Amino acid sequence: MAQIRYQHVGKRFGAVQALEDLNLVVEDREFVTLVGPSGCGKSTTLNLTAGLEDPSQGEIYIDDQLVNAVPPGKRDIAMVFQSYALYPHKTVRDNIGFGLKVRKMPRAEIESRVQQAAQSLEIDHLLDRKPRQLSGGQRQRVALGRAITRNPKAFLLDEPLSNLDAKLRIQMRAELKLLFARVEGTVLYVTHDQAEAMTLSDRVVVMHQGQVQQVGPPLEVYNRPRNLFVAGFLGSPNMNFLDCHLHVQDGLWQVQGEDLPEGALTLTEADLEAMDLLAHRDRLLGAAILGIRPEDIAFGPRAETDTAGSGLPCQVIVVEPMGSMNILVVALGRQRLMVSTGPDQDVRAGEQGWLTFNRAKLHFFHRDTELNLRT
Amino acid sequence: MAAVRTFVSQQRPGRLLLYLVTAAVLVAVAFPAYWLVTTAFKYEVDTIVSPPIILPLRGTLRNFTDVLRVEHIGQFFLNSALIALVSTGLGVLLGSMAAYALSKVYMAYRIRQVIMIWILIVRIFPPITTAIPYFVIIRGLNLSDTHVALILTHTAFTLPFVIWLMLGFFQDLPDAIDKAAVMDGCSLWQRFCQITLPLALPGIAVTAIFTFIFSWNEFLYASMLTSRTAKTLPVVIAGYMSDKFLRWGEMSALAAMMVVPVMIFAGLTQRYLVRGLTFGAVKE
Repeated sequence: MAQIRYQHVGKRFGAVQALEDLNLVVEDREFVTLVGPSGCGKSTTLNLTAGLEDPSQGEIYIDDQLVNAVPPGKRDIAMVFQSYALYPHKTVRDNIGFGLKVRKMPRAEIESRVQQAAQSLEIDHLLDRKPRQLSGGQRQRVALGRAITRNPKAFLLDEPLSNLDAKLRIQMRAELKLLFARVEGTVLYVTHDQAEAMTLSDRVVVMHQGQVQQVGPPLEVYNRPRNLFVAGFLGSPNMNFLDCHLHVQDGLWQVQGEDLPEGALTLTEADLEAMDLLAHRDRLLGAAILGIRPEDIAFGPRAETDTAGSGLPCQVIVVEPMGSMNILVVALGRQRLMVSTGPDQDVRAGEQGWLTFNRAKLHFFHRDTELNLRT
Repeated sequence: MAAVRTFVSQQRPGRLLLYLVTAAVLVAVAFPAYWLVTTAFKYEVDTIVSPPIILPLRGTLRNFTDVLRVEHIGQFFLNSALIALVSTGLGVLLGSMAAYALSKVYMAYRIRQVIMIWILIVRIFPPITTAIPYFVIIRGLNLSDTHVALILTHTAFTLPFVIWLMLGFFQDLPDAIDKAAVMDGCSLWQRFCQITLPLALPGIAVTAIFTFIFSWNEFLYASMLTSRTAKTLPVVIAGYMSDKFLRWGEMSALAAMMVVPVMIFAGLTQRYLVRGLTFGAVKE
């Protein structure tokens, strides 16, 4: 297994800068996920690592060896494609063993490795079938088998689950986690699905417009987003954003805005401490963007929620029962907010109520730089 | 109660028209073949009467026996087969390799267009315009009346066609499969032989059939570059036509016999024309 290191790596396609100054170290046996919207440069990063594209600038090292000029087949890296890319004219056995055959491994060794891979993926009964005779999930396993059987230094996975239906995707997600824990592989995983990024990875790399926005363990990135983009991209339903203005009055921080009436949201020094903002409190003064996740907002009648003397009057517009929770779309003045509540809370569309923000979980972003004021 | 005019019943007049048009096209396509075969079995007098006999009530094998008695006819058959097979094989192999290279090399769209048009130029001129240069070159190479002369000529003529057709097939193959082979450690040549060619078999089959038919039926260059040793069947057929006579019966008999190998060749390659061979490779 191996460490992958990127130093100032960039890639330009004509006038388009697909990747800009990537500096990242994927440690040995680490599972790192590149996540971001389409065109953010995550697949380009994968192709550069594989050697399918040449970087326009910068260096890529695998185990401290500069691989910029090393052809893909010699990098000892396996790749799983979004479309599986199985060889349609070959049987499952030949698909899995092809990479070994190309490397001129003895036939007996190939057979034993193919069997081993097939057994671990529970596809040993399909070895003599052709890809067209397999279901989507089975093809996915064959593609994984083709990768693990080579015992490569690192695995590159390009949205491997995105062609599966929702149920199978969740099942395969868990299996992937188990599989790569077992083979102890260094994994670079690309997805636009934040649930995959959150559940599978040791670290996530959030990318946008060819630039890395934040790198860190999933929960850290989720709880302490570095900027507005990361905050908005991770989390389902999305984080709510409100334009606001902060000032200090009688030792309390007043958060005010078009839809935030004076006195509706006040913060104490203890709240700032909980948000890790106490040291940067000077930055808070003035215009900012307030971010709060749907699960950090409570909805209810005033008596119940008005514990700290603050609450925001609102009206429920839509109720989306998800089974495990209800998602409410509420109108706060002219602003629409998403709120998630417990499944047992009986809420109807049209209902009036009060919102209470969990003040330890507020995020404030600079209105121009969009950086989290905490950073 | 009045019958309900359903969507399906409303489609019926249109469907009838469709059948009629299909039948008309079928007759237009099949009639020449029918005429060829029936003429091959007609007595000579029946081939020239007016009005023509559409449905002959008597027949003979005389035309066939006459044709088979022509001196060296067996060799001419073999010449045709050899030249068509070798030029097809050579044309498809070289053309596929060129097309694969063109499909894999990254180049500007405009440059690719120029190359493709340049390749096609060989076929843009009417063949007769290049006949004299070919004749001079072949004679200069001391290849007159040899199989090699026609094989080279036919291969040169089919290459543009093969390149254009195969390029389309190669470009249609999912790129990810080629990348997967790259990751598996395949060289360009290994990818071409072990992955791309097997997947492009339907394309190769189609191309081979057309190339074979071209070479098998080609007359102009065959008549110009060969005289006896490498003479092919179309030249023999033309021999039944002169300013003094037109031997319809023998011409038709030989032409009918010429169709048989083409049908066998098409039949052999047809099994590769399976649609959806790449199905299951990638999920779109």
